[in-house]
Amino acid sequence: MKPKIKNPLKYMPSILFCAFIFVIFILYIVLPKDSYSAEEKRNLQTMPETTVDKVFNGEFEQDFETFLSDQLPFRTFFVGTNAYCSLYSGQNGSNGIYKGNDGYLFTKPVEYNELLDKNISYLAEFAENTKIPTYMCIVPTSAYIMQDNLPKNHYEYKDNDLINTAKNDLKKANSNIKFIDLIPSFTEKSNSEQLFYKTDHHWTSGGAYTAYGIIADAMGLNTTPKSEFTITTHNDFYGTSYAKSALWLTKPDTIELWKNKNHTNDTISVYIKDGQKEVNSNTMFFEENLSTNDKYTTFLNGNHGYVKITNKDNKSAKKLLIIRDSYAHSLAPFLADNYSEITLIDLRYYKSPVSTLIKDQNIEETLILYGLDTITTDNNIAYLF
Amino acid sequence: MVFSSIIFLFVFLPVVLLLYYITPKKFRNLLLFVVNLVFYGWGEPRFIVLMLVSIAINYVAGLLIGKFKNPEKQNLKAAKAVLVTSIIVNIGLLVFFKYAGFIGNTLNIVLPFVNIPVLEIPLPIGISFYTFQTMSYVIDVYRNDAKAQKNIITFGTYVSLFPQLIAGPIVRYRDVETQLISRKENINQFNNGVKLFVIGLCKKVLLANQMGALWDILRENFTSGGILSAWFGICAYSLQIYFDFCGYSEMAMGLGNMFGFDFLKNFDYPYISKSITEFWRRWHISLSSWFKEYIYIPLGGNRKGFPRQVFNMLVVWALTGLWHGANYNFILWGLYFFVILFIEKLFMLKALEKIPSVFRHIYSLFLIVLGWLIFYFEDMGQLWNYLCVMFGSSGVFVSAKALTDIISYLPVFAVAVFACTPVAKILYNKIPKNNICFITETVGCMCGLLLSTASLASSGYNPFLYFKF
Repeated sequence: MKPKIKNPLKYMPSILFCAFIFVIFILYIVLPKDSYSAEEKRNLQTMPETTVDKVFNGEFEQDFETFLSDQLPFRTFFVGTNAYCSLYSGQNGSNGIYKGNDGYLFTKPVEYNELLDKNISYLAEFAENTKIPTYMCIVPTSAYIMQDNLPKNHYEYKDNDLINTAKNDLKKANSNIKFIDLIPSFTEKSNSEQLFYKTDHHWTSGGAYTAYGIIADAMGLNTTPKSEFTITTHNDFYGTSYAKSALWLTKPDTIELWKNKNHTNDTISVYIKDGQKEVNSNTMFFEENLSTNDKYTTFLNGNHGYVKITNKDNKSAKKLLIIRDSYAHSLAPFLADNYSEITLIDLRYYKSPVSTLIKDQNIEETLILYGLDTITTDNNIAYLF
Repeated sequence: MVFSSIIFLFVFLPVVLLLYYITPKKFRNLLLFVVNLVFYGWGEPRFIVLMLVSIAINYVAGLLIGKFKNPEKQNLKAAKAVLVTSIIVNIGLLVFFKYAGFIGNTLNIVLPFVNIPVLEIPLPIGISFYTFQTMSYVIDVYRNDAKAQKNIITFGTYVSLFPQLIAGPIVRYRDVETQLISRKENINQFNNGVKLFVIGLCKKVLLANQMGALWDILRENFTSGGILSAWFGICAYSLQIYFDFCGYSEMAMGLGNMFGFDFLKNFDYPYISKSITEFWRRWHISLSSWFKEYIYIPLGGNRKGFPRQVFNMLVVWALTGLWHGANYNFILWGLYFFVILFIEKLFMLKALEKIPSVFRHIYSLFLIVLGWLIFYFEDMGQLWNYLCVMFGSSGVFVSAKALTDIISYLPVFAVAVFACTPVAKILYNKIPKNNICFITETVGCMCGLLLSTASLASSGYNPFLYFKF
């Protein structure tokens, strides 16, 4: 009964369609499964277990679909294809990232959120209670500083307004916190220097050094001159914006390590505590991380609740507390020159009273250093006391 | 399970296709019946019971009616009794699962002193569709339009047929009766099925989902977005709902073709209509014809005088509205079309014929888009606010943010608008079917499949960036 196949070309859609779905099906069975995605920094779903209960309450089905989605053959290729479609179909980027000039990937603007006002009030109250000099610095986003590099059609960046809101909140609360504004100098300097990574939202070591200069000025410290540092560069850094955007053809960044010539293994010690886990190190640069996927963790080994940097060379016995997010990782090594002890607290992981810590360790100054995104959206600052 | 998912495309479909074509013809219905139940029960296996009950009841009802209608020992009263019972049971199940909560809430408003417990029953997928199918079967058997199906597997295959199970089209039993019993799958039909399926998939994944995203963004801030944003928003929603539904119907038809079935067309470029009467001849055709055939005509249609016809229309449109969802806004949406169709019947259609067709298109599109607004907003206050913004109450033409969104979606929006017109189809029909055409067609199909897969893969790509850091 089958009609004669006159021209096989006519049936190519069917042949290729079947080939496509069958090949992917077979690859699902044949290919080894990954349990971790380096790009997404999360565990992938593996084959869920089949039990009668789980099938009947739908849990198995849900996990199985996540499993298929996580383990899709050529997943990286498909996700990238979709990202480029989105880029070229008018979105100017993908997955919340804009693709700018010169290979810059920018996160979409931070929107105002009541949490900003609340967070500022928690911090102001904390400073009031501790009665030690407190400074606050909010890091603007790379896109705001480098507006000229953005694609034409993009959401408006309101970093300046948000930072002014924070400033006004402090003023209204009659707070003794001294606010350090980076925007004017950063905007000026960004023409001649690369202050932010292209594929990551963080500032470069150069950017952190610029911020160090401004912060040191405000805090009455001597800025260590650039000539005091040995700078090494390391290639192939792909940051978080790169992973988020899935624009895989973007060129990687280089990462610079600025090491103070006077710091030696004997003078610097770093102590990291996360829950029960403790790490001791005699350098602030964890260079073994340069060969991992997440190269920014080279600075102070990434996100940890409690980090203490001791500089034996510094005889001032001055102690600083930094309440911070990851922008501080690359900044703290500069400040380490000015203090004998720096304690860094990340409120997302550190849940003990910080005021007790200040008393116990005789800390004399506090620096609050947050990226604009964290301070506008993080709800862990409420637990600061 | 839905068609636009990785599990359907790369697990269910290849496995079912393979099993189907290696199974001898005799057992193909049985195989389909089994995979239909897997498809239906995926994620919520308990509803398989409901499906089996529904199949059993209507199977028995069909058999009994067939028996009582047998000319040798005719018993019309008994046949009618079975018909009425089966309709009551079918409607009863539908009302219980779909409208119990709605009815409970309504009663609590009407009778504030009696505290009626409101049942929160999850809606079994596809129930609105397959209930209408089983009813069409029983009624057709009663009317001698179809023979009772003696094989429960064949009947069960019809009711649960996975291509049209979840979102239609509503296939009448008599339209597929012969195909159910003996169908001759062939490569031409299969090939057309593949093309249709890919087109439907693209409409759903590449157009409907994008327009849905635009609508979500614009709607979220509609009070500050301005006039242009409100209009673009509702147009995006109109495009979303069309491509979603039409895409799904086309995937259903395509899949039907792959397994040797031919379903009737469900959408015929509804947005090029020049009147609302025409729109309803082009939109969700299988539903409109169901209502026409099983409600409007039995009620007397237009044969019992004009007042009765208006009443019949009113009933049909109130029910059409209610069928779409258990809420007042759906009834209002149905009545909205009743009023328009009534006016068109009275004089508007004649008046429309006298004006240039561009105005007729504007007239129709305006009313259709307004209709989707009623369809979307369950909250009347929100609906009113949205309407006010559309007509300038906010005093803003377009906010900077909304303009950014509109521009960034404009290319896809333009493609979607183009895809609402039959231009591409007309061009396709004109070109000679030679090798160049076949190659282009194949490349198009594969690109569509690739991009749809890419889009589906992306929705599962969730970089966990440490609370962003």
